[in-house]
Order: sequence, then structure tokens, then C-alpha cells
Amino acid sequence: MGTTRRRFLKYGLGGVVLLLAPALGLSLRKSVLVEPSGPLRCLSPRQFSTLVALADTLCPGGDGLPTASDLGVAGELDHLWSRMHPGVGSDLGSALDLLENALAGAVLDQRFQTFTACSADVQRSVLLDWANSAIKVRRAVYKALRGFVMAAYWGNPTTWGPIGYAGAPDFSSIPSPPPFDEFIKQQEAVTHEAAPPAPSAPQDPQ
Amino acid sequence: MTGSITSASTYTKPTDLECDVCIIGSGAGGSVLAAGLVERGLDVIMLEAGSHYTRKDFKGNQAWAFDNMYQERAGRATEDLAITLLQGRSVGGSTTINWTTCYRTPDRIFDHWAEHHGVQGITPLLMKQHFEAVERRLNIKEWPLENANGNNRVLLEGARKLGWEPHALKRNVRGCVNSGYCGEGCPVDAKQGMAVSYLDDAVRGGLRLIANCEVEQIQWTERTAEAVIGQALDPDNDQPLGIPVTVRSKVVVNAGGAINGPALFLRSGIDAEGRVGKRTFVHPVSGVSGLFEDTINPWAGAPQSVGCHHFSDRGSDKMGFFLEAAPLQPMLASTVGYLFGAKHSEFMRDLGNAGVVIALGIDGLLPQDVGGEVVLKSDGRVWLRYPIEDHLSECIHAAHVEMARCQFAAGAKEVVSLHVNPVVMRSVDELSKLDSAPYGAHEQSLFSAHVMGGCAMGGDSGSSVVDSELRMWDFDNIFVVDGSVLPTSLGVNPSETIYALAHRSRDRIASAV
Repeated sequence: MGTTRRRFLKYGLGGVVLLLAPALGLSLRKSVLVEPSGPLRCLSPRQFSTLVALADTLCPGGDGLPTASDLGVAGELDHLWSRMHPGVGSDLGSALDLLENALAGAVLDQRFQTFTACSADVQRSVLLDWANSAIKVRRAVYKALRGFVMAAYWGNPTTWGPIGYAGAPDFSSIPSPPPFDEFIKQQEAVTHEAAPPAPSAPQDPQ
Repeated sequence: MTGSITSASTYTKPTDLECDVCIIGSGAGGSVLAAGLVERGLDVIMLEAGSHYTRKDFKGNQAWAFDNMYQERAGRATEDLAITLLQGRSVGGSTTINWTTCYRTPDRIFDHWAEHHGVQGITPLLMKQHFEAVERRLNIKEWPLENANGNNRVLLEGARKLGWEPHALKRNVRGCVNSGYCGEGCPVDAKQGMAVSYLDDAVRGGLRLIANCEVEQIQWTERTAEAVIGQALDPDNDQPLGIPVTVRSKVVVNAGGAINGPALFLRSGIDAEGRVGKRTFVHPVSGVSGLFEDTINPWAGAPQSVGCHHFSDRGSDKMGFFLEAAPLQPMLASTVGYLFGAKHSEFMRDLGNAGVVIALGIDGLLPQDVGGEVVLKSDGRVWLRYPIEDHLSECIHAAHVEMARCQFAAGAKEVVSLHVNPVVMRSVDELSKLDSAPYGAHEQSLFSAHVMGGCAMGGDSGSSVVDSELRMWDFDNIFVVDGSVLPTSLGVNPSETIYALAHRSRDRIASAV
């Protein structure tokens, strides 16, 4: 018996429902939310929580180094992005949404939970997948998010001691160089003093 | 007559101003020009989007500097995010945060411009007086090799052993204390950036410099610019305050730099038949990290003091490159490469023993190398679209091999590439490992601090944007005086070339008023 339009629609729709149901379920998987220490300026609570998990995976601390959470890296980036073009925060927020989404995770990373709900091992594995992805956009997103997180973390003086960097000394007592006109006069005076004596005028043969 | 430096954020109502010349941007080009114009008795207004900072603000803190003095808070990158672009954004432009390296334009570049782009009157002989003038004002002198820091010594010793003839670099400093914080704003005013040199001269001569004023548009009719339309920005967040600033001048000079400058023209409907924003070059930078027994402390001391041009000319069918060192404070160092977690922490703990050599690709000289393109996005953002073509990938690969060879010659016990999956080499015998590594976009860290082109000068209106006197072909009173006029990259750090071209342009622009 050939496939009638009715049978196709009946079974086809059934198939779609069968496929959509788990997809819908995955996309509705809950995030593990983290309470920000202050009002968010740019990110949604879900995006912020994803950023917290991402930052702690990138910068887990240990051996004297703090975790990214210890330094409030996610909050700092929320503040930073709020002071950039609105499109920047929007793009990075969308990237965090994609990282967090369990359906996207199932398709791209073979994991069936939101990023924030994954174990630390799985989160590391997910980030390695993003860094090595054959999809160039994923590598780009990884690079961008990683760069912001690393800069916020290692720009914090708390991280410097364990790696032997003392930070800048106080330069305030060092005087500025003299104004240009004065400098040139000094230079000319030095040059004049250092110059060999001018040759004497030719003697008049008379 | 003494001028002033004010912030547009102090304006409480729409502001209309008039002058002889309006200069947009306070970087290397605009500042040298401004000093020359006020010296000639002209009334000059300069508009700068960034804030005005002085040495009391400069504490050697990279986080503060990136946030306040770099374009897009140091988050600027090419459209595909493959190349990080470091450009300045404050009074003095990139000269406030650059690493002070100065070179005269190589003769072969001038020759190339004349032969391939029809540039006239810009020769080593004719430019000599301009180089000498800016070298005197900015105290551009060779930095003694005995003062080179550990990072630069790696390049010096490695290149010497290999017979590559490294050389001491020239720097624009006076009273430098060799601190290494040039990129964060000189904390002792030793760096002769524009804010403490030509701009200081210009303001004492009458320049009115308005900071925190972003130019949105140049209004024009036929062949004449009528007005420059800007808006006041809140210095705390760079957001518009809703207060327009209008400047009407006899001459308009776009000196906004090689991304923002072309973008301004594009927003204004000035595209020179599609040539504005095209042929943008970046000296794409790649690097490798060597691990040494001795302490290097790559964050300390003058950032750059040694250069090597052994590979600048690799023949007519390959992109050349030149070698320098890069300062690595923890914040910038942490962003290179792709590692994270424990491996990255280990990389950072070794930073004090790391020496990083960088290679800068010389783009724009091969016939097929047209570089990148500045484009406007619908939401107002500006992007540089810069594809990584095969000739660049080949150059990056070759540069990796030679940088690693240099590191080993200098005594590195291990050399690591900055790939997604780093190539780790423990002797020069393992350089061939680099041959199987990828060199496309997002395969390894790429940077640029030298954006050039986008409003290229040339000999005819059909293939360039400005003439050899830097006037736009399509306008009687618009000039471009910054790195965007360069028809190709330079193969050397570009600041002195821009200073000298601006110095050369003073009489021509003054005569246009």
C-alpha cells in the first residue's frame, strides 16, 4: 500500500512530535543559577551564571591562586560589557546562551545538561570541544570569551604574587623631564662644552 | 595665544564652533600637523573621542589602561575575531600607549609606492628633513643595547648566533627609567608621545583640543566639506550625552586612525567609489614562547629595544616578516594562546622565565595581497574584515620556524607555539613539528598593533583615496593625515612614518585655508 498524504502527515507529525519532545525537554533543562553580588547591568541571571561557571573552568585557581569566582570575574565582565557598544554585550550574551543550552550541547558536545549543571570534568571537556571545533564560529566564540575572562582574572593584582610579578612600583617621586626648550638648551650647552676647539683662522701670510 | 584642552562632557547645550582647520583625532598624524598649523598662525580645533589623561593617571596598571586608553577597551578584533587589534583611544592616540619603537620608512617601501602606486614626491631624500625634524622634537635615538631587557636579549643573542644581524631600536624617550610600562601610559613622562610633545606645543600655540567628542559625520556638498558633526561622550562609559558639537572650518582633516578614520568617511557617505576602507593592512603578529633557565621577567624594561629584518624580503612571491620582542605583563600574557585550567596556570607560573619573540608580517607588497576592509555594521559598530589568505598562512608558518630557531639559539630549553594545540619543541631538531601545525584563522594567536591603510594615497584618482599631498581626490578641503594613507604596510613600526608625513603636510594644508 502506497503512502497516502494522510498517512504521511499522521506518521510524519508523530515523528516530529517524537523528535521535538526530547528537544523541547532539553532546551528547557534548568540552569544552576548563581546569585550576583550586585545588580546586573548587561547580562541576564542565566547568562551571568553561565559566565561564572565558564570563568571557574578557565581559571579554577589552586596552589595559591584564587578561583575566578573568588575575584568576581563574572561581575567585573558584566560591568565592562555594559560600558561597551550594546552589540558587544548582546553578542556575548547570546554566546553564553548557546554554551548553556542543553539542546545545543546535545547536538554539539554530546552532553545533555545545561553547562552550569555539568560536572567540572564535563565543563572542561565542553570547552576543549569549543576550542578545537571544526566550526570556526565556535572557536571564535571560545577565543573571545576566554580572552575576556583571562584578562579580568590575571589583570587582578591578587593573581600576581603566585607567579612572581610584583606589579608596578610607585613612580610619583620621579620628576618629569624638563620642557623641550630647556632640554635643547642643555643639550646645546653640553655639545658646545664637549666640542673640540674651533680651528684657528688661517694665518695671514703677511 | 594659549589654547586649551577641554572635555565635551562639560558642555550643557549644543555647541557650534568655527575655525580655520578642524582636525579629527589627536594621534601621531593629527598632533604633528596641529603644531605646524598653529605655528603658521591658523586657528585650529581638534576633536578627540577619548579622554585626556596625564602621568598622574598612569600607574603601570594594564587593566586600567586597557579599560580607558584602548579602542573598545582592548576588545577590538577583526570581524572573525581571529586577530586582536590593539589601538589607542585617548588624547595622543596610540602614541600614549605604544611601545616607543621608531623607524624611518625603509627606502624600498618608498620605491614600491612610487613604482606600484604612483606616489609622487615622497622619497628618502625629500623626506629626510621631515624625519630629522620629528627625531629632534621627539628625541628619537638609539636605545643602548646594554639596556635591553631579558626578553629583547633573547632576540639579540639568538639572532646574532644565527648571523641574522639584529640591531638596536630607536625610541622616542627622554629620561626613560626603563620601567617597561610604556603600554600603560608613561608614568614619568619620559615617552615623547603626542600629549607631552607636539600637542603641548600646539596648545601653547592656540590649539583648542576638545576631548570626549566623537565625530559622527562630515557634512558636505559637491567638493566641499561644510561641517564636522560630533557628540559629547560621558567619559565614564563612553555613551553619548545627547549634546551635539558642530565645527565649521575651511579645511577638515581626518586623522582618526586607520579604522575609525575610514569608518567616519563611510558614515558620511564618502567612499571614493568604493575605495575607502579597502587595502587595510595590519602587520599580522604571531609569536612563540621560549622557556629559559635564567630569569627573563618579560614585563620589565623597555618593551622593545632589538629588531631583526633578516626575513623582511623573502622574494617576490612570499610575504616577508620582521622580528621583535613583546612585553608580557600577566594580563596581556594570559590572553595569548588557547590554554585554560591547570595547564594555563602552569604557563603563567613560568612567565618569569619566558621569552617571547614576535614576527610581524609585511602585508600589502605582494600583488595578490589586498589586505582587509573596514566595514560598517547595521548597529553602528565598525569591523575590519581581514581574511587570512594562503600567503599569510605560509608566512606565519615560516615565521614560527625561524622564531623557534632563534629561541633555541638563545638557549631556550623548550619552545612552545601559541596554537590551539601548542606545538612543544625541546630542541632545534624538533622544528619540523611545526610543519604539520595549522596556520589559519583561530589556529593560533594573532595580534596587531599597526593598523595601516584604508585611505591609500596614490598617483591617480581611480585607484587611490588621497593624492600624494594627502588631499582627497574628490574634495577641495578634506585631507587625511594618519596611518590610513599608507598604500601598503611598512615592514617597520609605523609611528615615525606618520609623524614625518604629517610634518611634510603642514605647508600644503595651511595653503588650503
